[in-house]
Amino acid sequence: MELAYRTDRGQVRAQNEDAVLIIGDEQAGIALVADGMGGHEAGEVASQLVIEQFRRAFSTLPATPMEMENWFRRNVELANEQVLEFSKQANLLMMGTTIAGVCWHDDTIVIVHVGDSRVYALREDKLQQLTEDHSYVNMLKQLGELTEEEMRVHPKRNIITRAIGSKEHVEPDLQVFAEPEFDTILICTDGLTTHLTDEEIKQVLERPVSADVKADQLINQANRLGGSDNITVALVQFTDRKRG
Amino acid sequence: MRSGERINDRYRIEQQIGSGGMANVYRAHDEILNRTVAIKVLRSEFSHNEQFIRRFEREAHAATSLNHPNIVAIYDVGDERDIYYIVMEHVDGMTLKQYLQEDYISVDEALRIMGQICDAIDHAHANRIIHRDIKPQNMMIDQGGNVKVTDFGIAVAMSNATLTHTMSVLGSVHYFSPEQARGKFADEKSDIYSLGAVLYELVTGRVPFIGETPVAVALQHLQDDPIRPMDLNPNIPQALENCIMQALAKSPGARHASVAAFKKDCMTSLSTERANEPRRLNAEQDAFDQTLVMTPVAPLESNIKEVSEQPVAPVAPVDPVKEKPKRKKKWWLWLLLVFLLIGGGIGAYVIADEMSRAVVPDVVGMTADEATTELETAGFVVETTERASDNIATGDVISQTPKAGRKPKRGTTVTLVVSAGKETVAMPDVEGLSQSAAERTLKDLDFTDIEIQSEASETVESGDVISQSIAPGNEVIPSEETVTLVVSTGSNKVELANLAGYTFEEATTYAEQNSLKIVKRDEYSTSVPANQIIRQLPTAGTAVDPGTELTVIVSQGVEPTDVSIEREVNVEIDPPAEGEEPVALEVVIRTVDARGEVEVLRDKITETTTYSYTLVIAPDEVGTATIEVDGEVVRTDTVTYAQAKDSQ
Repeated sequence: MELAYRTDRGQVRAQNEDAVLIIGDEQAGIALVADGMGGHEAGEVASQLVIEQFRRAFSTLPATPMEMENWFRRNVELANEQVLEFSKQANLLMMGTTIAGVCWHDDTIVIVHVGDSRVYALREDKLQQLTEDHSYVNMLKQLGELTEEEMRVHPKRNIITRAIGSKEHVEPDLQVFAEPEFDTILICTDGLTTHLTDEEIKQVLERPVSADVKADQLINQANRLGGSDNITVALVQFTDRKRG
Repeated sequence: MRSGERINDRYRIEQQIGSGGMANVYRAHDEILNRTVAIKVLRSEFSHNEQFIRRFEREAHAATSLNHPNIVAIYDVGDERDIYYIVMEHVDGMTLKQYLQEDYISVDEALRIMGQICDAIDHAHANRIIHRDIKPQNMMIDQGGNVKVTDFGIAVAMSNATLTHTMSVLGSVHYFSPEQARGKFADEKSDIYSLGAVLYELVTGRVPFIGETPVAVALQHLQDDPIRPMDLNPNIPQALENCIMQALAKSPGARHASVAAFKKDCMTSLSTERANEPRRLNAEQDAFDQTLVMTPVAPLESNIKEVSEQPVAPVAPVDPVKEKPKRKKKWWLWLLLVFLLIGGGIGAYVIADEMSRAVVPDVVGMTADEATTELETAGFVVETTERASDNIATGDVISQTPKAGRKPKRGTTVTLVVSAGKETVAMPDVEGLSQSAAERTLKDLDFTDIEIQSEASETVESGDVISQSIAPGNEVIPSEETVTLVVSTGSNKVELANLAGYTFEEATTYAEQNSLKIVKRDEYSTSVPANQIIRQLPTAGTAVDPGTELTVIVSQGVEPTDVSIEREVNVEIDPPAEGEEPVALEVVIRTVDARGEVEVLRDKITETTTYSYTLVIAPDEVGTATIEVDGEVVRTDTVTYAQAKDSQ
């Protein structure tokens, strides 16, 4: 198994409001990204609070699918409380953050997300987006009102419908996969997907290079195409997973 | 900002009178013009985003050009130490939203207010400014009933699409037009729609669409007809309802031609000539049904309510920690219920209620023949057009209008766009172009997979393309190719400096800085002081690759040589007693020095004699002479190299 991550300020933003965490080994681990929002400092703090919550929680990662789900739900809720508390004290109304990530234990993988950060899986030669963005445009798209292309250029594509730190309670989307036989999992913030299409991402993920190099290449490509937002990627590459 | 604080040494903050996600509003006193003003101050967490600031200022400046009794005047736009602010006319009153207090007002009063709003918007449109965010929260009404519209163009500044925000920034979706919901550019017609929505609220006491979430509301703007105003307030004349419904038409073309036309339509609605006006059929209705679906469904909120009133409802707010044991057993049930909740909401839309309509099947991805058969079976007329496509096989359907799931009348034409296969292009020649120009050229032709390799080059300028992996002129399908561009990093050779006179340490630093391997060779020199570079190889001015060996010849100073020194020794003989014969004594002098051990003298003397001898001393060594008299050492003379050198 190879783990890699990169986070980059991009070409336009003055600071990096993204945060990333990846810890673990073949047996168990977590990989998360968070895209903070709310302007100067608020975003940085929000994403860091979430990441720190999970860094502390890693030692309590359970081993069964259901407990793993609950573990995610509980820690997202705790992170939510912390961000809310901070934003109240600092009077930062718009503070919040997305989260997207996975935790794995043996053959079980649980995926969590809130907001428009994404989890992708490459399996054989197919790249699949496992998460549905909690965004205004994606909801309209799911209802058939917008096409993929309209969604990409919609002026309100930045509006997310769920965030950590915006309400008393946050409902994360959770998915459990038993023995999914993924080749690679990519977790990223929208700084990557704003610039790279799924096809472009897939091409990088399929290259016969290390996870580290792939992470670099993803960041570099997004930066070459404008780097209009912070860019963060985390890669979990299952090199020795048994194939049926 | 606290009261008493000053902005720009001129505006004294008195009291906060409003706050929003992006800005706070204060009442302040302008100490120069001695008047009360309102100041909108951008929240500090956004005052570091340059792109945002530029838009904020630009839009605010545009609005300063508006001068109208029904528009809140903008006096000043400025910044001071990261505080960005707009100084505006202070209106002593409340917002129209506050004024309404969830209730409707008389038609007469509604029209009196609406007339003023229309004048304001009409004036803005004449100055080519679109409001884009018309809502009662942006209207101020003073004690005398005068209405003033504010926040022109600010909506644009707020829509910085690269900053992520939660829904609260979406603002009120209750008044925005279908085209705004869809992300299309908002124009005068969009403002007319919003005016219609405001008028609807004035006379009915509620917004046209109510939903649980902004998305649900946006969806209704796109799909649903609002409840007829007369059904909510029977005092509304038909003519006014007609006017409102026309302004709320989904299609911009079906709305009033201008704000002036809308104003005239609503202001004349109470006139006797229009007293018996019939219900105006939406001009767009017929045309609309041909192309789009407008399934009349109950408002979304009622569907949600219905579902959530079922016993399964209390699912959502369960505390996962406390309820853990229960959840454990039934977690799959929650999932199922959540699925049902979501499915139920959408399902209500899908369930048809008119036999004359049919659901458009999803034929995207089918072959044109399959799609045609399927659509014709469902009762639609099929028309096809072709377009090149990179990812859809020749003959397959790329897209369809209306989209799958819509419910137009049977007999409606469904237009299919069918793939004509991939488009090939001639590979352009980008050699010699700058990397960015080359990438732009390729991207314009839809090459997406461009890889960049760097290479040093003596002939191609740094940053320019040395070579491309696909030869110019080749016909290729851009999406299928990876183009590798080799980009010059420029010449990376180093032109060697003249290191003569550098100390060795300085030369080492120079070599490190230029990624050269330094090799030291020592040499004696009579002219170059010790530890300085005498000369170098390769010589100064030679251009070399990084990693090249740079040999420096370092002076060890003057070559040390053996030194000879003349020494003297005085061997004293006591004079013989009176009358006695002098006794001859044997004197032997031996030297041990660079020449080895040498007996330099053997003599017999009877009187005091001075001898001289030479010591030849090698560097760092000593020379020693021993003087024996009659076999007995009387003196040892040791001279060091340094002493010998000094005496020279």
